[in-house]
Amino acid sequence: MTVEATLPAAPRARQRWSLLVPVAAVAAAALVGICLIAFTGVSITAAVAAFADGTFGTPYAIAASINRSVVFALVGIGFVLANRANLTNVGGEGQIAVGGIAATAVALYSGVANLPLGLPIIIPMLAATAAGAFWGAIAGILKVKAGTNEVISTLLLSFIAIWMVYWSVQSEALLRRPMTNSATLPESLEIPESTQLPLLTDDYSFPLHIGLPIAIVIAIFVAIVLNRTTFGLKLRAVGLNPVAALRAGIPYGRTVIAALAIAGALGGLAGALMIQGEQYLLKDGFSSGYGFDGLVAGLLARGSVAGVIAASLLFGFLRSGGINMEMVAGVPTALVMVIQGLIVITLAGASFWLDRRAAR
Amino acid sequence: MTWELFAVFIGSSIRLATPLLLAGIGELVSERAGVLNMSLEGMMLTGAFAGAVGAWATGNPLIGLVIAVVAVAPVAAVQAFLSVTLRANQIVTGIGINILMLGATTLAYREIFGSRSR
Repeated sequence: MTVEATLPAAPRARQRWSLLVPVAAVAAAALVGICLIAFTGVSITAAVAAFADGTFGTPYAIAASINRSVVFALVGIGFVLANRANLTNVGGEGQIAVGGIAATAVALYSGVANLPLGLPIIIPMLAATAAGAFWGAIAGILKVKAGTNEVISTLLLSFIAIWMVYWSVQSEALLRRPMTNSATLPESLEIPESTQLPLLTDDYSFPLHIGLPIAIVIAIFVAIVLNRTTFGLKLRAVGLNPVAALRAGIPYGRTVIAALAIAGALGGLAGALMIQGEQYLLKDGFSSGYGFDGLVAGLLARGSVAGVIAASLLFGFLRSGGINMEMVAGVPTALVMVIQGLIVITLAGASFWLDRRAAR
Repeated sequence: MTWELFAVFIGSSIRLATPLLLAGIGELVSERAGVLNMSLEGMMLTGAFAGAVGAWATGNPLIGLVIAVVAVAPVAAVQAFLSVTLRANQIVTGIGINILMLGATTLAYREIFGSRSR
């Protein structure tokens, strides 16, 4: 008689359910989406074909989707890390924004463009990471010193950051490009070519940049930190019971500030990837809701880094498919938002039931 | 700044504060009950859309107002069901409903007014 024969079937069934429910939620939301497409009068086959073409049709589409997913994944991983300490960081959009400002400012005006050894790429990214860490730490300090709910402080800080982007591209004293005529748009100069992210293959029809390996390394690193280091344990202790953690000698204040700072840093890095990898200049609204999509990916992951990656890939490809559906089949991209919203509330509603099954 | 400009400024501040005040009062009630309602933005969107469509369809702004108030009830019911009965994470469901209503109202707008949109 082996041990395996006496183990209950519950653990294996539990794993199967926690994989099955997200897949079922996505499938159900897709079904509702198809009904809505039929309701708008567009032919379903045309819409689905356009969607598939936008997601997998050309190598360019696949690369663009993966680049987008990388941004979502970084914000989501930051969210998951802060969530381990029971801190909800909804300011991903603002952290991307300050990261973008820092990366653009450093790339354009600090003279790094002529440095060797890949430094022109690394230094703006480090500046963006530091800016994001600072932005997250503000919320952490407010929580520790004044007890401010970090949901509110990170959300309002993200509004401040978004309007800081707007302000910085309106004034030539800040980041706006010199106005040569009245039609000059309010945006920054294009960043020098040496600071733009190199592609993995030198093929511009498959523009996958080095953001992907960076994100994979960070994901593995954060997963190890969360599950195998004392810092991860401290985060979890602070999240589960701050008073007990204090009694055990874990510095509550420093851990909270560190958790929010790291989440902010990853958001800032995502902003740098957006500027240096795709957009190459700073303009108002460049973050275009990526921070909130990354936040949703982090929320859906329910604490696991692998879940963040899966959700980010889903949303990245969903967005690409939605854009192509609008261009080719005339289905409004708002449909993709409806599908996203449905996925989120179905998974949120199911999670309690899943957690109850896991606890049994 | 002349006094007239100042008066216009104050007047428009009060006017613009009214929707925020109404939404804030609603949020106060739900926070007092202990439910964190992050989907306020989605509910405001739904109310605005329903009010506009109702007023356009019936030609009477007051009926549009009533339709707006009634149309948000299902959204609030979904939020309540998810937050209270299913005990889901209230921040997640709030943000999810925000995204859902943003998409749904945009889609519905394109459907109803798409051919006439300026």
